[in-house]
Amino acid sequence: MPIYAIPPLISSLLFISLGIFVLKQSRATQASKLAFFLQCLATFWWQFTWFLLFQIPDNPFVHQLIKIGYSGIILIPATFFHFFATLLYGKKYLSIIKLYYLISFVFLTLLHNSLLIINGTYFNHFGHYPKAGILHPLYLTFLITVVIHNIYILYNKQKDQQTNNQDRNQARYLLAGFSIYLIAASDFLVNYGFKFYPIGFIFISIYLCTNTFAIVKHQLMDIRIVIQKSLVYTSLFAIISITYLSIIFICESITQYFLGYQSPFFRFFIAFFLGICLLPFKTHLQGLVNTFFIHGNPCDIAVQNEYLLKEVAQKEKFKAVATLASGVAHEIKNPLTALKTFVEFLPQKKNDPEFMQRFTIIAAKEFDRMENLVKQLLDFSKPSPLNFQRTNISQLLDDVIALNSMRIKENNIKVIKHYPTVTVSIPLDQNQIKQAFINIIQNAIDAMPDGGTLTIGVRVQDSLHPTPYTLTPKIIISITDTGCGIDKEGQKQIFEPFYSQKSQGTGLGLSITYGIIQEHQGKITVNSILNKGTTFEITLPYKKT
Amino acid sequence: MSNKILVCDDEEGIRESLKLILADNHELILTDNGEQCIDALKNNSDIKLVLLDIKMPKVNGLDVLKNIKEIYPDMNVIIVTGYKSVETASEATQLGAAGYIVKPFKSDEILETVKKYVS
Ligand SMILES: [Mg+2]
Repeated sequence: MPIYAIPPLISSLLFISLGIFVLKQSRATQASKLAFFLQCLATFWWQFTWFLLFQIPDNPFVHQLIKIGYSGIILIPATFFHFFATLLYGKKYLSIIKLYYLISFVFLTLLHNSLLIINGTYFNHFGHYPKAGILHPLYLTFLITVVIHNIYILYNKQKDQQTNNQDRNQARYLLAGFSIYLIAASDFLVNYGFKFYPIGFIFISIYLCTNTFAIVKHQLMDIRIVIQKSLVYTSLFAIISITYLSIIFICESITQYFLGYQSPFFRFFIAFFLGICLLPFKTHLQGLVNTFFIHGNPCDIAVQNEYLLKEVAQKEKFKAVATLASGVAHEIKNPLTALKTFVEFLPQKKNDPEFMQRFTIIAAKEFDRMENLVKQLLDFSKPSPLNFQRTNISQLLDDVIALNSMRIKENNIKVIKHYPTVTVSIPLDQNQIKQAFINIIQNAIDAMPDGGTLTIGVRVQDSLHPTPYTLTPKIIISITDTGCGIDKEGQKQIFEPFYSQKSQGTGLGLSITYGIIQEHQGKITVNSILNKGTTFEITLPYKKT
Repeated sequence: MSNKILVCDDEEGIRESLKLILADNHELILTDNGEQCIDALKNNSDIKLVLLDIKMPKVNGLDVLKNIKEIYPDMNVIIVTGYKSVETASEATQLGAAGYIVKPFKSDEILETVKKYVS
């Protein structure tokens, strides 16, 4: 494949796939999605034909192919106006949109039935290229009119005091993007006999791709952040391509002159080198774009980002609630099924003492389970406000061990403590932290039904007397068992609600622990080796008050 | 003809319920995890039907099902689960489950389904 055919191939494929993707996925209005799709389709049409064209140096179909490809170009101004007007103004410009399409169809008819628009071809080093016909300037006039109209509506929108800030910014970005797109008009010079490789595809491609990205991301974030970002990359790409093409041109002339041949490796090398050299400019460009288009107001972006994060958090929350609901349903179904069945058999078996005995045991157990689930759910959903009290951490851990001493003895578990020699006291909500540790230690005990060792360590990281320049010291509490361990998958999910490896577990215990530790600005991690044991490590900030 | 049914569910309440429903007319083997379930199948060649829970600690019910079908391709396995998700149901069917009962079940429902496979 000739190298000159590659860019149009890439851009055409990008357009059609992105156009379809936007049409199917985006949350933007149906009308603007369709307009965007048409814009993509026209460009795909044109670029894909150019790809075919640059492949065939001589072929009787060349002239037909050029006309087919040029049809895409003819439609582009109208599709652009269609997209801008629909996105920014809804139905307001509908009749003008129709008018522009109508004019485009007149040009299309002329293109296909006469030599007035395109009259033959030029053959350049990159392949065939359409030669402007006698009425081609008329098409250019139409194009310039639509371009001015586009700029006019975008400019009005961004200036309009009655429009909200968001739409005005959007118009501002679209306007800037459109200006970059206009560089592609340099391709028309080739139609008039100038002999250079048409590089317009670069600007159009980047412009459309980035806009697609913006619309796709519409689902998640505001369009203008992305358009702003895309402007940065568009400019960067434009600078790289212009520098690249001129350097390539110079270098190729030199190598051609001295060596008598051109090396494709050399081209790749230069491209790679330039890419690396120009990357540091990204931040500068970002700054420039921000100053020009949001008038030096970084707060605006911060606010947008904040809004974005909130939206993401909200989505996460919904997801968590859904998981919670299905988890609750499942946890309640089992005891419910048992109770239902026993009640169903109660009338016919009420005189069977064995049945009655089983019923009493099962019912009591299942009711307990449901009660426990409700209690845990309440803890989970509504953590009571924290009541901080200065607490000796070793003392608190001893209390927790004492609370579980019965089961520790039952399971024949040995407890080893590694406490610091000095007393470490930090402000904690005693009840909540106790609950957090109880959940971990109970899990450890459950993991060692046939005995084992429970090791509890407390250590202080960094100095207890920090200067303003040292990090906040941390207290690290580790709880290690020698039980069955948790596999890698399990470790990932262990803090998620309703994840449990125990048959009677609700799967809420460690979620609650996680929540409590978070409330204390702490961190909890798990480390486990299957059949060797598990270590939970809780890090709490050391605070004086 | 044998009428032996193997129940595998991690919850005592569910095992007891199925026992209550089925024990009068069927011979039952109750197991509470996948390993026991497979062992029971190996030790009792006359088992006609397996009632299998999905959500169990350690070995998941679907894995147990896969395991059973590898060793006994013709064994009838009915899934008894609290999850009524289309994915699990279709996965279970693909793995060769004969039926799907959703908790909370009614005793008639169990008897009806069991009747198809066991005399
Ligand atoms: Mg279960």
